[in-house]
Amino acid sequence: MSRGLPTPQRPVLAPGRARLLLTLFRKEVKRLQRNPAALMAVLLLVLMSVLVSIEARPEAPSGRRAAAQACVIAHGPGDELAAYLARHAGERLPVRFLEVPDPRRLRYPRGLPCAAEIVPVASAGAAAPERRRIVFRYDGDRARAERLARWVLAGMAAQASGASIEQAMEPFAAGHGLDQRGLGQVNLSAGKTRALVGTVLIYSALFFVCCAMFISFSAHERERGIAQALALTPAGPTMALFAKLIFHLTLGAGACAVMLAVLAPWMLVSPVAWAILLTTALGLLSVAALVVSFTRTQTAASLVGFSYLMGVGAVFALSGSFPAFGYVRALMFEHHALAALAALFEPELKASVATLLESLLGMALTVPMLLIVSVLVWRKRAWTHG
Amino acid sequence: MIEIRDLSIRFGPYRAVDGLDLTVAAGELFGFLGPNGAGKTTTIRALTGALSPSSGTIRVAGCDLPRQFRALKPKLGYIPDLDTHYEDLTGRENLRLYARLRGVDPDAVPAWLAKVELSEAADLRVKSYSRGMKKKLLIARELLHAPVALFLDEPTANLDRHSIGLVHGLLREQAAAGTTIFLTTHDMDEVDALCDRVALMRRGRLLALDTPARLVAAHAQRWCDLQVERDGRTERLSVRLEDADARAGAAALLREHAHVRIHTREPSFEQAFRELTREAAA
Repeated sequence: MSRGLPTPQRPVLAPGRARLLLTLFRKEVKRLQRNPAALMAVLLLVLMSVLVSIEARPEAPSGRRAAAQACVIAHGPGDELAAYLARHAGERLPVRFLEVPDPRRLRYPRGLPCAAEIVPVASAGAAAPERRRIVFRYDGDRARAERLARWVLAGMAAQASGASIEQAMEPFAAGHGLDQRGLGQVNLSAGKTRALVGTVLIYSALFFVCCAMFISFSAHERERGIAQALALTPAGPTMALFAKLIFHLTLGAGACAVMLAVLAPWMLVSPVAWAILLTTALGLLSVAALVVSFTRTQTAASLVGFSYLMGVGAVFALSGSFPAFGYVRALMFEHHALAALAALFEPELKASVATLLESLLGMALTVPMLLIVSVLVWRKRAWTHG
Repeated sequence: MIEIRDLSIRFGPYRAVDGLDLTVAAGELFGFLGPNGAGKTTTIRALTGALSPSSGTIRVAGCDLPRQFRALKPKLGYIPDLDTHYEDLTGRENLRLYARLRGVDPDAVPAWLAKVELSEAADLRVKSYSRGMKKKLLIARELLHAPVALFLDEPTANLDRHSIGLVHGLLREQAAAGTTIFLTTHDMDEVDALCDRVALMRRGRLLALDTPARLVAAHAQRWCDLQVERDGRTERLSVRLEDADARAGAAALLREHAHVRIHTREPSFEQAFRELTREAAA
């Protein structure tokens, strides 16, 4: 039966913290390697960003195609200024005129470099001079829109109609490439849309790696009693959590780095961008740790994780209509994280500095608190089985 | 090695363990028995730091629980009644992981794999192991670091006779080396064969505490099983040999009818266990 070999070894020295962390980190890496489905899901998200990048590239604002495309001047029926401009349009600045009942509601075709919306404004009385509001819109290449504005305003001066105007220079609204046929026509080359898609892709990758994958791996350990077995080693539950945090942060950062390299390479060297990404990842990991701490089985943890995602969506949706949910949203790190990510992707970063600072402050207030709570709860609950 | 004084563990109004007093010496093979719901697993969970007592004290290897659990846990081994392995890793990788976490040289792993007869399956993922193989891997894992106290919940469930013998040999060897072994099991033959002393629990209370031999002598009885031919039919009868009237009746029966089979049953620990739990229920 027993061969009398080997002699059990009493540990000479308890392994140091760095060694324990490294061992647990390697274990997480090995588990990921042995779960190709999880790895494939991460790669799929990265691949999506590559596809978005390829889709957006041919119509980049600096490209020749964009330069050759005509800008649009949208105007109401019988607009005299538009008629004047149409008569004097030349080849140096190609423009197209579009007569629509309400130019403000116009959905622009994809890839449009710039546009001007001429909207008559109601005058105080019949004797009052004619008034117009002209909004110049641009997509990345603001200089082109400024040339259009100079030409329109020069035409107005030459027309000498005596009408007064209000003018504004604004980027196209997010998702302006959408037409009535729906998402199939999203203009990914538009700056706002790219910002929106980039934010969603990066957040999805972080959510998958730092929340969904963390919950799945850790809840499995808890349900099978592995967490309890680990807790009886010198590593303990806190060390196991820290190793997980480091592993998921590393994986999330890696996925984000690849996605940023194709979506927005300038962000790769931006400390602010990395601060936002890592804080967002920590927030998501804290939520995941809490979910695992309060659920005993993998199925329950997955369901709670899904409910969390739906809950966040519901608060976001309701906050537009109900002020109370707006307050709740302001307390959620997810709100600040998404706003910060969107601000980072904005083509005009200067315009979004205030949003960025506000979001960073929001994250700095919410994420550390959430992290501390999750570590405390994890130490107390997340390693016990049954 | 293990001292439990007036231990009570309550879940709301339910008392899972009620006033338990117990002392287990170093190097002792101790059986902790009882029917389902007796409080065995709850006690083991308290001894392994997973539960805090409602009242009373627990000392293991000189450490007060749960206060000094952090100092104690590297010296403990715990084999639960489920397979706590990473099933996507191989047997070797699982053992190496725990060896590194416990500060044991990972080079000791192949010898342990050989000892539990898993060398050939060492590089297969644990998910492909049978339940018996998983149990043996678990035992090797929890013995790697030479714990001073080893807690086992159903250590030989799902094992074949050969593997049971192997595990019993390992446990005896560990006990001889000074490890205190505290096990729960429903296999009474295992208790009889393995344990130095036994505690019997029922509804959270200690019913009996002694060696298996003394418990058998005090509570088990000898029986005689008879088969006789009567009116062309075979009748079966069990007679308690301590009962003089029953003995006389059996003798008369054997005189009057042709017997087919007579078999005496020696008192066993299982009988003693049944008798004790039956007495307590009455």
